[in-house]
Amino acid sequence: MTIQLESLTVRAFRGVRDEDRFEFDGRNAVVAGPNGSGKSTVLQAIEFLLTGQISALRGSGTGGIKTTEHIPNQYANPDDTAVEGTFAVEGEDSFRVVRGFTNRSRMQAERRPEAFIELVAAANQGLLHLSRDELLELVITTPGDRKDQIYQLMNTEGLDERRRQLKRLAKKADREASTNETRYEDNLQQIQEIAGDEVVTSIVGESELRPVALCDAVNLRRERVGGDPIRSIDAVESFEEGLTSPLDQASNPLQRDDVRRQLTQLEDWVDGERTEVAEALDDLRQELRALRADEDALTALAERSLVERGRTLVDTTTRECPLCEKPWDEGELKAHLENRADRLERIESRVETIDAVAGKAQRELDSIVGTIDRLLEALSTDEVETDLRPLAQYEEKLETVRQAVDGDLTDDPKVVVLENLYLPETHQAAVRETLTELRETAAALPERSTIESMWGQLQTLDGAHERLQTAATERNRFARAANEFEVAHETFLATRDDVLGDIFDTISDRFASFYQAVNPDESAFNPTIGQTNTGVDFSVEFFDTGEHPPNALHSEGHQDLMGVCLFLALASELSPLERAPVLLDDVVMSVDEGHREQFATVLRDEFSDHFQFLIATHDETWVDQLVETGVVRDQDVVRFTEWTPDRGSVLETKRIR
Amino acid sequence: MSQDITPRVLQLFKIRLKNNPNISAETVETLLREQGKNDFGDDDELLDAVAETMGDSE
Repeated sequence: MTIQLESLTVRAFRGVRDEDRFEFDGRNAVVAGPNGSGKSTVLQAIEFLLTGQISALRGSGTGGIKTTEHIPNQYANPDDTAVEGTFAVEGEDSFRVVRGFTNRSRMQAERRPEAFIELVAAANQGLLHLSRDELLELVITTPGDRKDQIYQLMNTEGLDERRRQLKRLAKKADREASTNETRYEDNLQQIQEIAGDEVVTSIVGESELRPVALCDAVNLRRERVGGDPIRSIDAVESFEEGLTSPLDQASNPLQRDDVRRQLTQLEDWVDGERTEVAEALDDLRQELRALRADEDALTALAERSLVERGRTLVDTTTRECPLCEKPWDEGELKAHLENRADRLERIESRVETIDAVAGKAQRELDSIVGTIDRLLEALSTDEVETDLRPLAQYEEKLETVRQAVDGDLTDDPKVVVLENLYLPETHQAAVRETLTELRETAAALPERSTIESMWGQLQTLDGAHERLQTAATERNRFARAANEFEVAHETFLATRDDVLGDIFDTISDRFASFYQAVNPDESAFNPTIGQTNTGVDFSVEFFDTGEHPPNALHSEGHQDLMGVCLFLALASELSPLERAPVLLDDVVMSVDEGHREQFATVLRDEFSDHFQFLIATHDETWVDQLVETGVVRDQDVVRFTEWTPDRGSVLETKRIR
Repeated sequence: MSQDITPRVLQLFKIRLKNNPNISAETVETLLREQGKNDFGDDDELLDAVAETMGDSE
């Protein structure tokens, strides 16, 4: 598979103001001329045609350079900027390819044979074009950067992405395993806090669950709840299996905390708190008796509502009693009622005292009657065998008292039944006996709070154990996945390195062969290049002092030759094309005449069948050497004489319009 | 002249993975299938797919 450049047309591009056309006919060519005459523009145009980029305008040291500003000719319309090439593929008709600046990301091609696609790929990899800067990046750099540079030429991006993905996956799986290990430990700790230290064992510093011990702990709690033991924790779907929730159990109400609180309240009442109510009732009866004995007070009380009503009906202009229609002088009826009201104030304080005492007694009685009512309701079940009638009778008596104090005791004290203002003392003995019996029954029953606690622990243990099992499963899965991804990663690395190592050995041999051919009498400068863990090492023997970096003891000329030989070794090994264009832009300018002549011979003998060399140089001696060795025919020398702003590049020979 | 490096590496990688006793056949199959997709497949999907093949045993 071969491809060659037949012709090139450059319009309004870089130093070309109008249009220059070059006929290469697939042969090697030299573009010669003084500095600034536009010879590099020709090579850059080929690079732009195939990649849409110019490598010299990118990378380090190109700050301030703008593609939009510096690719079109400074004096031309960028819309006119374009490069056109004609290529020939072996056995096929030639075809035309055009790339304009305005739409430079798209190349227009009459055809795209496989060889052309490979050429474009090689150009994008960096295997088309070599400048002195790029050459030095291969030679004078760190092993790591050299490796990156060479790997880019090898187009290992797809490989690197696959390698990185395997590494990422190993890390992700490891993180997942670690997360699940933390979950396992958290749930194990929760189980340990409930079931005790005996459910955990430490093996090589790692805590693990002891299933048999957990089963014992579960069975202990199941027994307290009234359930049967389980054979093993794996034999049931949940630790509460076969048990009835305490919330659903038909249990004795005397086990309930609220019922026990009510029993306590009633006991406290019977044992002492009732005394305050009894004393309040004593005071009430005493006050009421005093009122009954005080006729003035009774009259005042009887008139109290009438006077209060009258005060709202009359004012200082009223001249007639609204009740009996008796005439009054203006203001006198109002004054009369105010005098009566003043007399009533004496009785009002006694009324307020009675109301306050009655109110307090009523609140206490409300509370205790409510307590007994709720207690009777809760205890009226088949589970309670105690005779509750004394409580019911006591409640009934208390309710009578409560209703008595709830009425208006001062409206007419004479009609108040004072006998109803006594606590039912005769029933209290029976009530106390009943309470004692209930308390003894409650004491014989299991504590309901213990059952609920055991039930809650079983539920917590079950949930924690389920989460622990899930975490253990996920932890083990992801740990194995992490291990296998790591194995895959190492296998991939070894495979890649083996394949690249083979290629590297070939490249290294070729490089050494080319370099030796250029320096046939300098075996003491034997170079070696090889891959290590950190990158690509490059060293050169220096007489009998051992191996050294290429820029340590060797001249710039030797370094240039090493760089160009390495590039050609890489390009010839890595490109699938048997012959393709290669652009060399001033790459041997530090090399002396003797070595350059030798290099020209190597280009002719070793590479002319593999590459169509397009070489730019300002050195006429080098041009002559290339012609004399037969690398380039005399008629294939394109020579620029100068460059001016108004005319652009001025071609002396081989310009074809 | 050499051919493209990537297919050579992947072909050899596939053979070596299949002969490696430290990685399960299911993982190899899942890995090669997912990495054969555009952009080599989604990391999370690939991880879950491989973890899923690991089973529950210790």
